[in-house]
This record gives sequence, C-alpha cells and structure tokens, in this order.
Amino acid sequence: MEALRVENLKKTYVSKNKKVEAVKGISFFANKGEVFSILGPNGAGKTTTIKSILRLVIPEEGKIYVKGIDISKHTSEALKNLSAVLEGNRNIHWKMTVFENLKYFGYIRGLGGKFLKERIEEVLEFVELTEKRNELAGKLSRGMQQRLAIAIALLPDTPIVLLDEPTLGLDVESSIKIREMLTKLSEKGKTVLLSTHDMHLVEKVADRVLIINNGKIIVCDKKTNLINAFKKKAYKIVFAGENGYINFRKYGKLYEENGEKILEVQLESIDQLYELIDKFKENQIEIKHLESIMVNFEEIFVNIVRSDEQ
Amino acid sequence: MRYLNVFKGTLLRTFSELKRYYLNTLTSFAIMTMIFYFIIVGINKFGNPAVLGESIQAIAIGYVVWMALIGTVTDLSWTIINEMSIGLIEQSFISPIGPTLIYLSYQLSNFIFVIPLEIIIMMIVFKIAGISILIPPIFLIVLMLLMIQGYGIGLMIAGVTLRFKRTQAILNLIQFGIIGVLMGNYKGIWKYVVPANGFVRILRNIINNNRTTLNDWLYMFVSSAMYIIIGILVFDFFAKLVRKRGEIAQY
Repeated sequence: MEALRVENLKKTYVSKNKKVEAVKGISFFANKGEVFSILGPNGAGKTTTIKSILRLVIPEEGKIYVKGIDISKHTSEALKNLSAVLEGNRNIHWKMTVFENLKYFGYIRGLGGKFLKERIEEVLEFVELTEKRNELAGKLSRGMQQRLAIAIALLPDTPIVLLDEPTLGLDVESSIKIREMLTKLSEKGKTVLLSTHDMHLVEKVADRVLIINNGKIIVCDKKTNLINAFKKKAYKIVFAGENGYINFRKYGKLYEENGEKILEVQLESIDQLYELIDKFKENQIEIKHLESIMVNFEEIFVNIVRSDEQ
Repeated sequence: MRYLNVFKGTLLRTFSELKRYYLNTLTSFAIMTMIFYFIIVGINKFGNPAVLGESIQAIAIGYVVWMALIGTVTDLSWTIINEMSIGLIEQSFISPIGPTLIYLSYQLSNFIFVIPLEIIIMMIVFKIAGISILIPPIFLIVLMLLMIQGYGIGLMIAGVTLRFKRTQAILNLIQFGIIGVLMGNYKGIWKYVVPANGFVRILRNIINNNRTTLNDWLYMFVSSAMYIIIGILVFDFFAKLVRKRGEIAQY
C-alpha cells in the first residue's frame, strides 16, 4: 500500500542571477511499513527532495501525495501525516529539558491532553530516555540528543517519518541504537524515509533504495536486488598452484594474502566466469577456492554513482 | 482545542526561557531603570525648573512606551534569528498549525509574561519621575493596546528577518528609530498612521486628568487591529516566499 508518492518533482534555486537545478523531474513512491532510503552524493538533490515532501520547499513542478493527499492543495491535512528529524540533532531546544522539549513540540503540532501525555511516556521509553526526562537537552550526549530529536518526530504518531542524516556524527553504539529504532518503526507499520551517507545503516535497515545524482534518479530498486546484481559479478579466485596464474592479471586484481595467490574479477555474466574457468583448465591452473564476493552497500553506491558520472 | 495547545506550548517555552535566562532578564530591566534614573538626574541638574515637572512627566511616559515597544517590535525577530541558527524553525514550518499562528501565539505568550514586568518597571520609573504610582486601570489598557500594535510591527519585521536572515543591525537601529517616532510631531493623516505616536498623547492625558475620548478609543482599537492584521499578512507572505525560494533556516 502506497504511503507517499512523488511525481515529476522539479526545483530550481535562483541566487544572484544564477540558476541551480537541484531536482530535475524525480518520481518515486514509498510503501507503508518500509524503510525507503534516499542516497546520493553531496548536492545530488536529496535534501531538496526531503524538504519538498515536508513543504519546507515549494517545487516549481510536480505533485506530492501523502497518504493520497495532495500536499500543495491541502498542506495542513497532509502535514498531519508527516514528521521529521532534520540535519542530525538540530531540531531540539537546548535550553529546555527532555520532557519540556517533548511537551513543547507536541503542543506546537496542536497535540495535547491525555494523548500527548501518553505519547510522551511511550516515546521516552522507545528512545530509552525515560531516566533523562528532567535533564537539559543541551547537556545530553550527541547520541541522546539525536534520540530526543527522533522522539520529537515520533510524538504525533504520524504514519510517515522522514529522517535526514539520523546517525550523523554518532559513535558506533549510538548508531546501532538508532538502527534498532528504525527497524522497530518499520515493524510497527511506519513508513520511514531515510536520507543518509551512512551506507552501513542503509545496508542494515533499508527495504528500497533511491539513488539520485545531479537531481536525477539513477536507480530506484529493492536493496536486495541491488546487492544481488552486484554480488553476482564479483568473484574471488584462490589458486592452488604456484605457476601460470600470473598471465591472468589482466582479468582483475591479482594479489597475495597469507601466502595464497588470489585473483579478484568483475564479470558481466556467469557465462564469462565459466569461460575463465575453462581458460584455467587449458593452462592447467588449479583453483583451490572460488567464492562470490559480498560487496558492501558502500561499494554498490560508489559504483552506481561513478558509472552515472561517466 | 489544537490552537489552545499551541498557545500552551509557546507559554511553556516563554516561561522556560525566562526561567533559564532570569539573570539576563533581571539585568536588562535593571539597566533600563538605571538609564531612566540617570536621565532624570541629568534633567534635574541642567533642565529649566519652570517646565521641569512637565518635561519629566513627558519623558517618563515616553520612556515607558519606548520600553514597551522595544521588546514587542524586535523580540520575535531575535527569536527567529536564534531558531534559524540552531535549527528549530523547521519544526514550526512542518507543524500542521503553520508558522504564522505559532509565532503569533508566541507573541501572545510573551505579552502575558512581559506585562507584569513592564508594570513593575513602569512603577519604578514613575516613582523616580515623581508621578503617582497608582496608575489608573485605563492607562494599562492603553499600554496593552500599544503593545498589540507593537507586536503587529514585530510580525512585519520578523517576516523580513525570515527572508533576509541577518537583520541584527536593523534590529539594533530600531530602538533608536522608535525614539524618533515617539518624538515626532506628526500632522494630518500621519498622526494616525505613524505607530505609537498617538498613544503617547493619550497616555499623557490619562496621567494628567484621567480622561479619554471616544475618538481616542476608536483610534487605538483601529490602529492596533490594523497593525496586527497587516503584521500577520506580511509575516504570512514572507513565510510563503521563503518556502518558494527554499530559504527556510539558511542562516
């Protein structure tokens, strides 16, 4: 079931007679309960896309439907279904306590009464900040501030949550906590839109991935499809013998590790792998071990962006 | 109900900030009082004894009006500058309530907390000036209407701040601009259009003979309502403009 739809989004910024086309006709959708990750290098158009969805930026062209509601026509109604954490831990009031922050941001969204009271307790528990409720937000660690920002976004219990760089500048432990939270959110049926440079986070939590560059979509697919597509093409071949393999350095990266001679190859198809194995046989080169290389998401991302730029 | 919740939120925030920065608040009020004290000392030393009483009274009222206006006109802009730099402003823009109503509510909360402080300072200023501190209630009503007018101007300036960001220099100049406005002797239509000027005359009448006319009230209500409505419209215009230009929080 579709939670969010973006159609032909276009945005150009004009500054000092200079036009910058930040987004050039992007279309995508995000389903209910999925973690949808928007990736791209700096200046790719990620933040403009996120801000357009939140109506912080009004695009020149395109439509955005939040739970089927056209945000340009019914802004307030559509915004009731959206909440966000923008630019890391910036969205909190440092001179207010954790509890005051939650109360304040809940109130300014029009929430109140029993609902707000209960939600505050729920989100405090969810982000594991119950014991810090009376501490000043400015005195919390960065990881805790980030969790507070997430708690604020979760307060209105919206079906769609947008997170811009939620793990920015966090240590490993805090990043893991955020990651666990995102998984729990999607299990609860929330649609999470995630914009990040943290490929490890994407690898762990994303269901579908949108990669954009220079304001255009390069790829929009399931994360598993992308990983499979790349996994099939990279192989690690460990040679058993000492001779002959040197002639195969033109096929990939040849190196030694723990006394073993290894060739890493990138191939277009599985047929090419069989052809290569046949060549080894012809040259009487024995293979000790062959494995397909698990590429990490960072490599996939870099490969996709680089090939787009070429 | 949800608008009442917004008001509760801004009230909570204003109170928290006042509580956390109480020393700063007290210091600024103490400085305001001391400045006035030194003005009076100066006038007593160098002024014309024949018209001294009248001058001091006029200065005291002018000073009270000036103090009431500085905060109301510039406070929201300072808040917005702060919110833009620390990243809070986006949350007001993504609230279904919208930034205009949130910041209007913020001004109302500010008004509630500032009024008692304003009255205390006014009583001290009047005591120093030798004016009875038993202020007639209508004086306070007029002062409140004046502050509402000030908040209207504050919304306009805050709108400009949303668009142009670094308006600190202008905000600092405004306090001197207000003095100019209060001291000016305007004629014709300008007597009614220029903010605050008419209020000073009415306030002086109240102190002197506790009297106001129907025209005075008509002027004050229309003027305050006009400024607050124009303020809301201007702020709303700039809020939409920065969304279009993609410039929210690009401080």
